[in-house]
Amino acid sequence: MRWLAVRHFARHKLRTALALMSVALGVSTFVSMSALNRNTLAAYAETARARAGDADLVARGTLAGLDASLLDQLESVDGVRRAVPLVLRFCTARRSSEEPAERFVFLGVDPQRPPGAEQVTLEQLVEEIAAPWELLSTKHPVFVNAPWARRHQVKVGDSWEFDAPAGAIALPISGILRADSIPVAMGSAVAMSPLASAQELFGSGDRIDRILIRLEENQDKEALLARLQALVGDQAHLSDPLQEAREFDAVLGSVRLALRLLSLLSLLIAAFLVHSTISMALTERRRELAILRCVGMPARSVRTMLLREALLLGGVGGSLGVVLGFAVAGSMTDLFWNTIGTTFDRIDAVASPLHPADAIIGLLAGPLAAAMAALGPARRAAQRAPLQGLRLERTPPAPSRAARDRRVSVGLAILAIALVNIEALHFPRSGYLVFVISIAALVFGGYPWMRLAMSRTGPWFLRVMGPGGRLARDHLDRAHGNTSSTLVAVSLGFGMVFSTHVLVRSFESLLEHWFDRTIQEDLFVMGEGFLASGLQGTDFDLSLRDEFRAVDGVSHVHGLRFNRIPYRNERVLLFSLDAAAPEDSGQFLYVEGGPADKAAWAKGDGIFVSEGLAFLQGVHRGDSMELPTPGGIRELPILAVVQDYTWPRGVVLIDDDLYQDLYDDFRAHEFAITLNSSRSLDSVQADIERILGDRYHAFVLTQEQVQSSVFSVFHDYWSLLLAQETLAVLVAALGTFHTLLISVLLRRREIGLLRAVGAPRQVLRRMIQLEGALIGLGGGALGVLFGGAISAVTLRVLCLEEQGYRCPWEFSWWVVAAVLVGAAATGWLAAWLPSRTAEQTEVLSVIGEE
Amino acid sequence: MSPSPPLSAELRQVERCYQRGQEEVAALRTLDWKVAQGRWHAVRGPSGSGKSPLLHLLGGLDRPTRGQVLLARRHIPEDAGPRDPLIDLHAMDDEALARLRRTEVGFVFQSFHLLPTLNATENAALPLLLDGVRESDARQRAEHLLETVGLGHRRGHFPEELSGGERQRVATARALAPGPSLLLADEPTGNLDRVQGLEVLELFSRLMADHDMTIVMVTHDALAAERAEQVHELDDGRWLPR
Ligand SMILES: Nc1ncnc2c1ncn2[C@@H]1O[C@H](COP(=O)(O)OP(=O)(O)O)[C@@H](O)[C@H]1O
Ligand SMILES: [Mg+2]
Repeated sequence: MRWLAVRHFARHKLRTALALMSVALGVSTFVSMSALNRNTLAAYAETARARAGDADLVARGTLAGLDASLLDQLESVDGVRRAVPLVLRFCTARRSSEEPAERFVFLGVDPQRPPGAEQVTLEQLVEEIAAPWELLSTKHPVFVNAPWARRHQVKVGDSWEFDAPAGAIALPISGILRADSIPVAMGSAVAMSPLASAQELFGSGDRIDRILIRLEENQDKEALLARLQALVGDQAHLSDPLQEAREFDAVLGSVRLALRLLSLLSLLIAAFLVHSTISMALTERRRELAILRCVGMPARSVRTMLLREALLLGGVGGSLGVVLGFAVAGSMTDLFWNTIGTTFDRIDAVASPLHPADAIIGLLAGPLAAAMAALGPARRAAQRAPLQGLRLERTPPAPSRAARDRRVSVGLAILAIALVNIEALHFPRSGYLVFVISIAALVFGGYPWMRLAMSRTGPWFLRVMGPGGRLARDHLDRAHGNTSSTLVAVSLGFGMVFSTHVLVRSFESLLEHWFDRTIQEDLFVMGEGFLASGLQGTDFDLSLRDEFRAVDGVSHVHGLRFNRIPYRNERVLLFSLDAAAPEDSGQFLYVEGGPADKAAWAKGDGIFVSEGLAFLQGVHRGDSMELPTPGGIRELPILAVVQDYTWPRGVVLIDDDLYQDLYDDFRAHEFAITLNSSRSLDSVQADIERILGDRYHAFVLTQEQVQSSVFSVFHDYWSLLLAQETLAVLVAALGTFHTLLISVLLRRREIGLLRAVGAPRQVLRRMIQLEGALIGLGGGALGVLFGGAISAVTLRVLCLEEQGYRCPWEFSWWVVAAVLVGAAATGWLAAWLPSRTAEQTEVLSVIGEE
Repeated sequence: MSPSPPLSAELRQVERCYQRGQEEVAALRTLDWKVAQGRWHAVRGPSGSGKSPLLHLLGGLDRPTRGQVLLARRHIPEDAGPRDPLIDLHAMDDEALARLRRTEVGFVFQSFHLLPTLNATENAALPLLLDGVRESDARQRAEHLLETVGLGHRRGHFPEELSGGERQRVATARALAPGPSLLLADEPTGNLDRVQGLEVLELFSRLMADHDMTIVMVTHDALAAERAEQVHELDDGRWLPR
């Protein structure tokens, strides 16, 4: 009987292709998301390893650096083979003033204590190098890595302008490092120079940023780590290199969570699509199966035949989906990492997004969903009395079942809402529970509720939309099963769209409010692309501040410093600013404490922390925090808790005088300038630009410019989801298309009859298109409800549980309207081809067949 | 010779051939027929003799391969000359034929072909609704017709709640909805038991008496053919000489 399936597929090429495409698209969305998601940790591990070389342990300090004397201390310990010093800075550089800046990781390495393997010759390290006499005469030789050099056509002897704290400085490229000689990191743009040069360029005196430690063979790493940490005390933070990866990953927790939810949704959409595809196809073949039963095929053979067909479809479609999914993931990888890089840390994408587990899940998902979908219909088809199948009328589902499903769905919805609002629940995990419950509510109640909403609307449809509208409505009212799962797929797709809208909107209004109150300085000076590089970039000497202060019309200038410090397995942001800045440069939004606490803060009696940090670390006003400083751990009281959304893992706000005292760091990432009203903004801006002149490649931005660029980074971050959503909506539209096409084929008799009693083509076309629009509209409406619920959970998880602050749930009615109209239009469009098919139904071929 | 009676329809040298694989099969062979108005015609013949194709041609559901099918129209169109009340179906496009079917002729099928999602009234009103008649007017007329076919008490029922005879009467009410002068019925009693079949034939008789109507009924039931005023025998696409 195997040939029956093959022949069936061969005869219905279009439908088979559609079914395959549905399965493939569904599986591919899941595979692509899963692949991207899976690779985040791998990419972080890669980056952390790149920063640590292949060290066993790494010692980190703050931006203020580590004392070089630690090197000998560490090496004197038994079991430690080598301690390698490293300067690691972020900076921008360009070929010439006219060209856009490239972002670099600038490494300083000691030629006597190189990272990596001990015994290397220069030839093994470099691909190309300047002549010896040129090297000797170069004060700061710079080496760049080969892939990057090739991409930018950089040759030995070229000169590049690097942005250093004291201004831009032209440095010759003295050599090209072999691709494998230095771990690739930070978008591959790595510049390396001798330790002393890096220290001089970046003004870090004889300090270093990290120490890479290699141990002797067969050492107990944990024990040695503890011993070394005890030895260096508070001066450095020692850890396994992968610890840094874990810290990075924690920062990305919210993104990963959102992606994981989305890929779960995609898998569901795929499953529902496969379900409706298979069960539609089976409904259509009811007669054929009945005939087979009539001529004596056993029920069991019918069942196995159908299951085998479903598995074949699911298998082939799933394999296509895996290939497609990897292609999509491949093309999205760059976008993904660029976006992550602008918002959080600059990370390199892992070269290959392929992982066997993703392929396996994808390959299994297709046939599994298909088999699940085929199981019920196949059993029913096998059990049906042969003659029953030959009759054509189909009976609608029993009203009692619909009523029960409605009650179940309401119960589930109430449960979901209750769960979201129970404060005591710990969320990431119970968030999944709410997610599952919401989907169950949708699956149970979606179609019954839609039917209830349509009940008694028959006459209304007839009056307003004519017989075509009435028949479209009638058909939806009667078509259980197939339409129901299509509806669920459509509502999941539009639910995704709507929930993203709610998330973006809620975050945006929170950010807007905070920005408007807190960041009110008039002008900002910063390096190129600073806001879009996760606040890692060029350092400026603080001396610039005094030059700005001297400008006529300037009332206040402060240097801002963003320093990521390790704190209890997290990386929190240490944000230094001038606590004595005047009122008109912005005010805090206090969560605990109030403006009265500012005086003590400005005196350096303690710190302010962000709401998120207070929540994540479980600290409050009056508690104290132990901050790592070059001089050891310093315990500082928390004077107030304020709103600040600069960094997802929490912010410590510290007065700049105290910061300089503790960290001996006289550099800034950014200057914020408040004007008095004696001169126009433009003329002051011009003066500031003149001070920067050719010395610095820096930009002077107005408050509006900073705000808009912060929001554009924010939108970039969310645009990641856009691709995913587009795919979901496409898949949903394809599902609608497929459902309608088969429904038209199923109803050939009805349509032919309408033609026979004189229905104009336009009525038939309108009928099918309205049906599509109604599926879309129903799916859109359910999607808004579902998306609303999902966004509430996600907001709760992303804000409160992951980042520790409350973010009110907000949406706009305009978007609700847009989703409904968009969904209806999608359904309408999806119905276009099926409506053509309906219109071309031959009357006689249908009326004649008895 | 008496003047020829007014015609309801006319077939002139009509041939209908079907392509079956390479072969061309003729279902109707150069058929002539003047369908006298106001009569009840029965067309008899063995299965496969071409009865249904004949009816489909008269109802504008199909076109002849050769020859002409002419139909009298209730509404004389502006473009037809006043002297020729018959209109050639050949000149009409698909949409015009569809219009014809919902305005000029009524068709009753052997297996009823009612829409399962519409109740009796709505089914009967369908051709009117398709023609853009106001919903309340269409409903009113359909209810009146259901009274006529004796189903006044069943107007809110759905097809699956009706017996075969009742369904066929709803189908007849639908055929009558546009007020056609020509009613075509293809084995209207073929799917009914004896009693229900008789009910439907009874209804046809009443329609003949009360309305000025021409009925062309295809049947191979001798009993049904007896009720008709004129019986025509078809065999292999040709009239059998009487
Ligand atoms: N749509 C069609 N395509 C091909 N052949 C047809 C078609 N309709 C009718 N025929 C052929 O025309 C002949 C007569 O049609 P049929 O409907 O069987 O007549 P009757 O109604 O007298 O039983 C048959 O040979 C049939 O095969
Ligand atoms: Mg027949």
